[in-house]
Formats: sequence, C-alpha cells, structure tokens
Amino acid sequence: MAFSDFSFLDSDSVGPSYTTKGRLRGLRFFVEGMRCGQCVRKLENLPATTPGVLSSRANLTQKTVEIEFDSKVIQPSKVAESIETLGFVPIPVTTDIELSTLSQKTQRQTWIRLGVAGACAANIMTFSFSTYFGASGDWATAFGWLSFALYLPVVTYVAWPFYQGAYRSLKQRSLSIDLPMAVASLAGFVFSTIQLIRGQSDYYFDSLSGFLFLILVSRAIQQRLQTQFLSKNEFAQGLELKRLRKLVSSGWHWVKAEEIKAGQGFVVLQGDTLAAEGLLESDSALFSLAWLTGESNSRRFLKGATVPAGSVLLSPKAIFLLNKPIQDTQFGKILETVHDIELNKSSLSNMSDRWSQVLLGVVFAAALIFLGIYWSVSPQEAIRRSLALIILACPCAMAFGTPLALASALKRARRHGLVIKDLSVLDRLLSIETVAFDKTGTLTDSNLTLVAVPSIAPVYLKIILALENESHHPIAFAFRKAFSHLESHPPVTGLRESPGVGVSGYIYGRFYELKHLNTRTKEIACGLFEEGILLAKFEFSAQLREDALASIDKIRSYGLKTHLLSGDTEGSVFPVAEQLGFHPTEVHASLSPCDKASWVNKRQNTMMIGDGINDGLALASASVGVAASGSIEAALKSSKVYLAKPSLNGLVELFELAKHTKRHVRHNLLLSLGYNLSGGVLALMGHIHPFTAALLMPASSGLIIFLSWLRDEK
Amino acid sequence: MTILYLMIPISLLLAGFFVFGFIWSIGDGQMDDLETPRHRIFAVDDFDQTNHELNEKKGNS
Repeated sequence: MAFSDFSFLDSDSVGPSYTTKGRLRGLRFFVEGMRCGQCVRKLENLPATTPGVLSSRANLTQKTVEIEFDSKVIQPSKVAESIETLGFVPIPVTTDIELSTLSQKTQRQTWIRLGVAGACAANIMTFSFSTYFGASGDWATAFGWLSFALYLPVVTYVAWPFYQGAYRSLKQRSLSIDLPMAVASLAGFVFSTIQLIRGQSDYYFDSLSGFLFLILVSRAIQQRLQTQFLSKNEFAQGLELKRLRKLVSSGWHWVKAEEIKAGQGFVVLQGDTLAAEGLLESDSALFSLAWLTGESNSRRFLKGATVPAGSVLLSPKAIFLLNKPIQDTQFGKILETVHDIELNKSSLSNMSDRWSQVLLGVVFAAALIFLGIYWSVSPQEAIRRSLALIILACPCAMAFGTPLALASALKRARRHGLVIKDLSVLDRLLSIETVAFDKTGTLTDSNLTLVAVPSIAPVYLKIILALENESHHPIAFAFRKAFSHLESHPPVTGLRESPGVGVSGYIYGRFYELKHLNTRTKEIACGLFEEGILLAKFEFSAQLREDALASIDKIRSYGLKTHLLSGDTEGSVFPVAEQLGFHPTEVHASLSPCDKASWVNKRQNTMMIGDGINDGLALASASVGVAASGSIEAALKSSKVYLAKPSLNGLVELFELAKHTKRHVRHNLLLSLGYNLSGGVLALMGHIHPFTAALLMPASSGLIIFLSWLRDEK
Repeated sequence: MTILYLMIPISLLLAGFFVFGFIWSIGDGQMDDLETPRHRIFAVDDFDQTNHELNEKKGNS
C-alpha cells in the first residue's frame, strides 16, 4: 500500500515543530475519518499493534489522537503511517496549535469555579436553613458568620470572571449579562455583611451563592455545547504550505518554507501543492490549477515557465527555482483574505444579545429608581427589594434559553445532514436577500453521462471498457453506465492511469489511449487514440441534481433573488440556467474564483452555495457560505455550512431551521420577559424575599428547559 | 448542642476534602473529554481473552 509522504516528520528542521519532548516523544494528529466508537478503539489499540508506540489517546469530539512513542524504536513518519494503515487520513499538527475552540485552561477554570461555588453554596444553605426555621441566639449568629466565611471564596474567586466581564462591558459602554451578576454578588455581599455586623438576621449569602452557582452551571453547559458542535479545522489545510523540499546535491531534504531564498532549488512530488511561486527547471510538468481558476482541467507547463503558488502537481516529480515566497503570491493573498474575513465576521452581535441588553437596561433603571424613591421610607427594605429584583431579573433566558434553542437547532440540522460550523449562521440566514449558486458540482451531479456515442465499431467500445476497467474517475463510471450491455472486453497489458490526463494501455499489441480533450463548448470530452491517432471523440455532460429545480423554486418563493455564477463558458451554462428557471440577467458565466468573490462582496446579505475547495474565496466572502461538495474539512475552512447529503433540499431545510429557531428564541425571550415583569413587580412590592428570588430563578430556567425539550420531541 | 463544636469542623473538613479531590481530578484532565470514554468500554482487552481461554480449558462448559 502506498503511503502519504510523512518524511517531514523525521527531518531535523521541520520535524521538531510537530513532536513534543518529554519523558517520551509525542505527536498529535487530526484524524480525518474518525467518526465512531470503533474508530476510537482502533486508534487506541495502536500500542498493541505497533512496536514503539507506547500510548495512544483519541478524542472523538476534536477528532484528534495524541500518541507517545519511543523514538529509538519507531520513527515519527512510521507512526503516521500506522494510522494510515488503519484506514484514516492523519494530518500531523504542530505543537503550537490549540486543538479545540475553547482553550483547555478556560474550560478547566469554569469547572473548578463550578465545584467551589457548589460546595460553598450547599454548605451555606445547610447553615442558613436553621435560621429559616426559627433558630436564634448565639448559634444563629455563629451560623451567620460561618456563612460569611464560606461566601468569601465565592465573592472573590468564583465571581471574578463576572467582575472582569462587567468592567469590560462598561468600558465599551454596553450592557452585558455579567453586570447584574457582578452587582448582585458584590452589593449583596456588602449589604449582608453590614447586616451581620449589626446583629440583624437579614443576610443573603445563601441566595447569592446559590444563584452564582446556577449561573455557572449554565455557563458550563454553554461551553460544552461550543466545544461539541463547533469545529476548528483551519489548521488542516494550511500546515503543508509551511514546508518545502529543498534541493541539495544528494537529493532533497525538508526545510521550513521561509528558509528557501529566491533562486534556490526545491523539489515537488506528485500530489503536493506548490507552497511558493517557482520557475520550472524540469522539461515539462502537469499541474492542476483548480485552487486558482476553478478549472478541473490540467495544464502543462514547460521549462522556464513560472508556475503559480497553489498549483497541485500531477506529474510524478518536478524541480523548481524559487521565484516568490507564498505570502507575495496571489494564492497566499487569497488565503490571508479568507482568514481575515473569518475574523471580522465573528464579531457580529446576534439577536438575543440585543434583547438582553434592553432587558438589563430596564432592570437596572428600575432598581436604581426604586432605590432612590424607597430610601426615604426604609433604606434596608429598599436595598432588600432591589436586590431581590436584580437576582430575580437575572436574564436566565439569555443564559439558558438561547443556547438551548441553538443547540436543538444544531441537533435538528444534523438530522437533516447539515453541518453548521458557526452558530451566528442561523441569525444571518434570516436577513439573506440574494442566493448565488455555483454550477458544477452544486447544481449538477458529480456524476457524468455520455452525451452521444459516435459511430465507431463496437470493438472499440469494448477497448474503452477494458482501459477504464480499474478507474474510479467519473468518466469511467459514465462509460460503464453507457456500455453496460457489452459483456466481455479484451485483456490489457501495461495499463496506466495518469490523473488529470487519462488511461492508456496495450491491447492486441497496439497502444491505445483515452485522454482528456480541451473543448470550448461542452464541459468534458475525451478522445480515443490508437497509436497516437484520434479515432473518436466522446462528450459528457453532468446531470442536474434531481431536486434542484424544486429547491430553487422554493427558495424563490421565500422572496429571495437567485443568481447563477459559474466558471464555465456561456455555452455550457445557459442551457442549465434555462432548465432551472433563471432569468438571463441572473446568469453570470466565465467567472474566475476571484470574480465570484468580488461579485458576492458587492452585494449585502448574500448566500453563496458552491464547492468547498474551488469556490472557497467566494464562500468566505458571502454572508452565509454553504459548501455543497468537496471534502468536509476543506469546506468548513471557507464556509459556515456544509451539505452532507447530496441534495439541494438541504438549503430549504436550512432556511426553515433558521425561522423555527428564531421563533423558538423569541418564545423563550417572551416567556422570560413575562416572568421578569411579574416577578419584578412583586419583588419591588416587597412580596419576594431574595431567597425566594434565588429559588424562582432556577425554577424559571427549568421551565424554559422543559418547554424546549417538549418542542424538540415534536 | 455542644456536639456541634465537633460536627461543624468535621463537616467543613469533609467538604474541603471533596473540593480538593474535585479540583485535583480537573487538574488531572479527567473532565477534559467526556465524550470519548464512553466508547472505550467496548474495547476488547486481555481480560476477555483470558476468560475465553479459561472457558476453553474447562471444555466449553
């Protein structure tokens, strides 16, 4: 079995950034293809099957595996190969990359705070219960001071993130959920301590610590949801562009891409993506420029030509002189733009944030006004009631309700085969005005059909079948489908398949080739050659996806404008456009990936659907990018949504999901608003004790969770 | 209620012990990945094999 080239892991210059040192050496991999428990068990069984591998720990959520090995027994590259033998695609990860969306430190700190808050709250409540049942005297005072002592770790350590968040939000002149919690925690502490010193029984350490504990529970749940559903794949594609094979007298060895200067030689092997712009030194070589032009046809470059960065080598080997490092090339700039766009988009605020700010503003205003008015009547009562208000009116719907709605939306999305990378998608979907479709692979199937059989003798058709017998290319499948009635085919010797070119072999002593032909009009054509002479031309067309028309019409019925963007020529685009009901002004042909991206950029609120790899730039520029084809990891780098099922109906379901989720969030917010209004009024009228408030709060959250669960079951 | 002079410190000590244990387990990384461990219980390991060998020795009884 041929392995991918992992030799860079063994090299002295590039390898160390991948291996951790310690008692043993360690390697981390992102494992493509890890999906289930059996995969975990296979990977964790490596120490038993591979000598030198000492421990293997898989993580199904992040889809990674961490391996410790003895470098004297096994080399890093062989460790990677052992994973490949199991049937996965391992992608080595450098040690400086954080594998999950939330840093491990943040998650652990939340857990610790949760534990401390829970322990303190429970013990405080144990002590204060006796006072609620009428205990008084010395023991009551003692319990009061014990409660105070147990509240100290809460008001300092546990509540610290809330103080930080509140301070930050005040600096930015916005209201965040951290404010009422910080205020309640501190003000409540000060007030209760004063009461305790004065000998009054009016202290609320139990309510405050209980309420902080419950808020932390919801925060921990939110963080878990984040790590479970949001994936971090940016590193998967980019790492291979940081290393090059430097040409030396004895062959080549791996170096970091920045260590090669202009004019120095480097080697590229089959399947590599060019990590720099190079001057071709070899006589000729074949490349795929899919990343740059969107064409899947191969291009041949001759010696002395400048080959752009981002090209993929199809020939076995090519030698280059470095012309420009990757950052200075068009490809490098595309990658940077994609990265920047991602960073900008993540700072959009969503709907429930706006609502919660309004609610908080109202609550604080009400509390302050009430405090001012009631102070003259009784300052203690005023503080007590305002405190009750703030504790009660804590926006739990925002804390619980919205993440719940989003989590159930994600669950539903998964059921329909939609992979959503970013939760902000659901909000943005609702303001979409235009939907742009790519043609190849999105509106058309990745399967090809033979358009017409030219008139040649049937024996040649059998020769074609013989040549394509072992090929998995879409053309081979199309041939097999068209000629399935032919039974036997002649034996072939010297059968060779060259990716991007075609197949060739010897039949009955003669040399036959089936090669790609570059055409102007129809998409794909190939020709049968005998001893170099063209015998016949075959043309293929890609079929439209079955539900394409139905899905697009449904999208039109939402009032959205639809457009077709394609890199193919007008001749092949317009027939498809007509079939799908596009108006001629809505069809744009012969667009390069950059053109598509600028088209999308010029319009606000656009959704783009295309191939995750070829249309990457346009997908990243769109308000919502949906990848309908391409590998899932590559797709999620550029787009927010990936359609795992090969049906455009997924788009319709996406819109329905967004509407449903918005309704769900709105209901939760209305519910919490109603509860807050009635509860708030009662609190200000003095009917609600802060302790009762602290109990009501989880009760209301529980109600929201229960209703969300009911909704899910429907 | 003089017993409380004993019980309160003991209960606080116990609580402190558990909090310490909880914090230690987090520092040990036990709460980092709660998804994957549930799949590990189905792994076939030496224990099963030994069991199987024992059965064979008994003559499949």
